[in-house]
Amino acid sequence: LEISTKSLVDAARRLSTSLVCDRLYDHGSVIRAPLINVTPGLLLAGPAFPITTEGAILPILQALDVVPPHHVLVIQDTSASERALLGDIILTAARQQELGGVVCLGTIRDLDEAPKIQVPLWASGASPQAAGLGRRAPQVPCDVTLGTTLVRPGDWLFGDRDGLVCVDREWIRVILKAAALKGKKERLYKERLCAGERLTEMMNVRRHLEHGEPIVVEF
Amino acid sequence: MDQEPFYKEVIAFIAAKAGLPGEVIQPTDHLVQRGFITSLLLAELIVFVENLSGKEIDVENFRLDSFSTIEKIYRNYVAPK
Repeated sequence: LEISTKSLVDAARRLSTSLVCDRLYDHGSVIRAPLINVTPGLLLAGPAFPITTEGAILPILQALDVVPPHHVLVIQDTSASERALLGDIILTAARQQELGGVVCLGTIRDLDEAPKIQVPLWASGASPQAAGLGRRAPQVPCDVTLGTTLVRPGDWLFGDRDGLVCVDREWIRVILKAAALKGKKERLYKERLCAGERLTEMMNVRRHLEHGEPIVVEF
Repeated sequence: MDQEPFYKEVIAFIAAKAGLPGEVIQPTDHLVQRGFITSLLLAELIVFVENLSGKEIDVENFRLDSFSTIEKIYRNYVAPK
């Protein structure tokens, strides 16, 4: 069964990083890297289109030229440069090309504009000074490393206020289903709480504490 | 897809994933109550059934009861309506 990227992204956008994280099993990881969520109100979700650059803008333009819609442009700056690799123009292009977001392990600029452009954006820092065009990348896309997480082309990224998560591309359909099932169970639990049931009774907390009975976690 | 080949494929899938001999799984067995599937394997099974049937299963309208046995899975998600 072929399911389009758009269809998977639509399913992913109904989730959160916490739901995905709860159902990752061993098929992904939380990304621990010096990255800041520049657009905290926006959910980043989609398959990664990773590239590396040595402090130059040309590899990013190379990637923009071929990245398919709904993908997340992931940039790893391998240089020590603190010049901005992208700003409002490239973000506007990303918006126009319907990208799922941009993650830049490097410096960016035009932070005030970024939330208005409405492309989910994560970056390491900001500088008003732009990087140079530089040389082309030998390979686009390619594997990159964000912190300790290897991100391969097609692996999925999820990002919201809680953090950034990577899911192995081979498992994305399964993890989306598992996270959606969990989300549904959590909604039912919250409805029961709003209707007056007590969480500690639903979870059998007192009997656990007094008699060693198991805690009940149905979500 | 016909019922018998579907049963055979799904039993083989669950047995391989759960590390069980296929003979212990019957189409009428309750998959969760008998401890054959976990939350991860449930999601894997949904995707496996989608691939077999060529039809997507919408989690929003999904009820575990309709997916509790292989027989019910076939009836509710695979058999021609």
